Amino acid sequence: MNLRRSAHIDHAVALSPDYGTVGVVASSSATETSVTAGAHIDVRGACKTYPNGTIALQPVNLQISKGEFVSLLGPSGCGKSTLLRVIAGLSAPTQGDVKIPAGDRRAFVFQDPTLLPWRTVEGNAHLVCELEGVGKAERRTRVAEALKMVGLTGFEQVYPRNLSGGMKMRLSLARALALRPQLFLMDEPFSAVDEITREGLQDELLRIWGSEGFTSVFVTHNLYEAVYLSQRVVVMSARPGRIKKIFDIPFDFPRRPVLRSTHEFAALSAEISHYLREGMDE
Amino acid sequence: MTATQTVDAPTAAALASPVKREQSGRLRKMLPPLIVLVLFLGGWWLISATLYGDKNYLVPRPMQVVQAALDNPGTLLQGTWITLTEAAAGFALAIFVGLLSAIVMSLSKALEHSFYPYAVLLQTVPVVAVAPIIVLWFGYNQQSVIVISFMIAVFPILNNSLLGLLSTDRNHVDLFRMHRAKKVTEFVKLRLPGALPSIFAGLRISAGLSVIGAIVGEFIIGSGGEQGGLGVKVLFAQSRLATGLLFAEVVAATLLGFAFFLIVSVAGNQLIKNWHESVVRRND
Repeated sequence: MNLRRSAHIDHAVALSPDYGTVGVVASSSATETSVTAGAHIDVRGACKTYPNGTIALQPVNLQISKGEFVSLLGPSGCGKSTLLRVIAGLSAPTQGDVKIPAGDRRAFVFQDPTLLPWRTVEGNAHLVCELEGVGKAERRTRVAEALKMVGLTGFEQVYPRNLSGGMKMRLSLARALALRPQLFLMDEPFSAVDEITREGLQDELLRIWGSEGFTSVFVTHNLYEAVYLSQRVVVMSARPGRIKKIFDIPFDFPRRPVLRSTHEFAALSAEISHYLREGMDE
Repeated sequence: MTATQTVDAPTAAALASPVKREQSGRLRKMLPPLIVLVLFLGGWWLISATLYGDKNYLVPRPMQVVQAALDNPGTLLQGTWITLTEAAAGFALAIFVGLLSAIVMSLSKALEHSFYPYAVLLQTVPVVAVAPIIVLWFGYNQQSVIVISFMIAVFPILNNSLLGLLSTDRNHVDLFRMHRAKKVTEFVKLRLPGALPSIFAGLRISAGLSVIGAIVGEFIIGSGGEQGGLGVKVLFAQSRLATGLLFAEVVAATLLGFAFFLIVSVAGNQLIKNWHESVVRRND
């Protein structure tokens, strides 16, 4: 784990809000070229303009290393979800592109647990693997493993309506984990659960990330959540959505809840908070 | 991997088995409507015995209706059977056409916009007014009755199914698309199961309507005499002032519609009993 933490530090952060749009379309034909050395996700000049003219995202450059945990932080309308959806392939960038090694499995966790109410816990956990064509026997092993990871073993035959908010979200995580993704993309997954449950889920997520080694991109509007979880926090600002600044979070892993009450944590949070406010005033 | 700490986890066993409703609770639920039934029959008897004591051909007493039913079991059973087959055929046709149209419309906005207004027109056209045309086309026979039953029953199925199929959660669709699910997979594993409660809401309305449609169709065909369904037999009983039998036939038609409704309800509830709020038994 510590190896991974230091791996990203020498990795240059590309940040150029003024990235020219001329010729960007042409670059999308160069998808075959290898990604930047060490970068797992390579976002190059990706931007998103909706048909009605709204600019959701100005051209963004962002490289994320393999196994890194990065948060996208910002107020609503800053394009953080748009950027995540572009990385996920759920939304095509208007210009620019996103390079991800071919064949890498991407899992997405939504803000809502998005469970199928007519399927049991087990049935829901199977869904993503099922859609990706994972064989039945293999799926069973993976689902059992994923449910164990999130502490839902024994709840296989329960229907989602009988689960608490926290358990639903854990199931949503398990469904994604069963795919054994190389890329784990999360869109404000813990924003709808209470504070105590959220902190528990954050620790679980870090523990699973530590053991599974996937690359994480985590969208949140919660500053402390971003700082607690991430190796890097990408601060974005709104109207139009763009990357404002990227912070390295130097705290060691595994992180403990007590970190939240340290002076260093508070100081770094305050600094990021300052940038966040600045982004909102503009 | 250390064991996960679950602060918000009740035991799985407690969640898996819903508490079964007790037998006494069921009885307590049935008592109020039974009391209403007894009061209704008592009031009916009182009115027919006092106000129409000398004109029982207008309002027969409850026992006279029962007596008429017992005296003419063949007529009642035959009429009920004929109406049942017509309504069942009309209902089946309505399910097939309604569901298929809803599915097609749900797949294409263009098709929905093109055809939905006409589906609404089909519902608003007065069936009694077009019935003569239907009779011209299909003749004075059961086919016409089936078509009229179908026309009355199809719209609620189409409308509710379409609503259900179009109400799929946006995030669910994203999840399926992200994992490269085929359109067919998305339909079978997401849209259709999610639409089941709406589909059955439509089916429940149409079940009763299909029987009403069959009776209306029989009225329009009119003839058929001894061989007709309940609608025909009601007209025949009226012409002979056999009001006891007429009432019995109306009750039979009502029970037939109710039976249709009940069958569809039970079937639908079986399909969604584990997850839909309208059916799931509460543990409180």
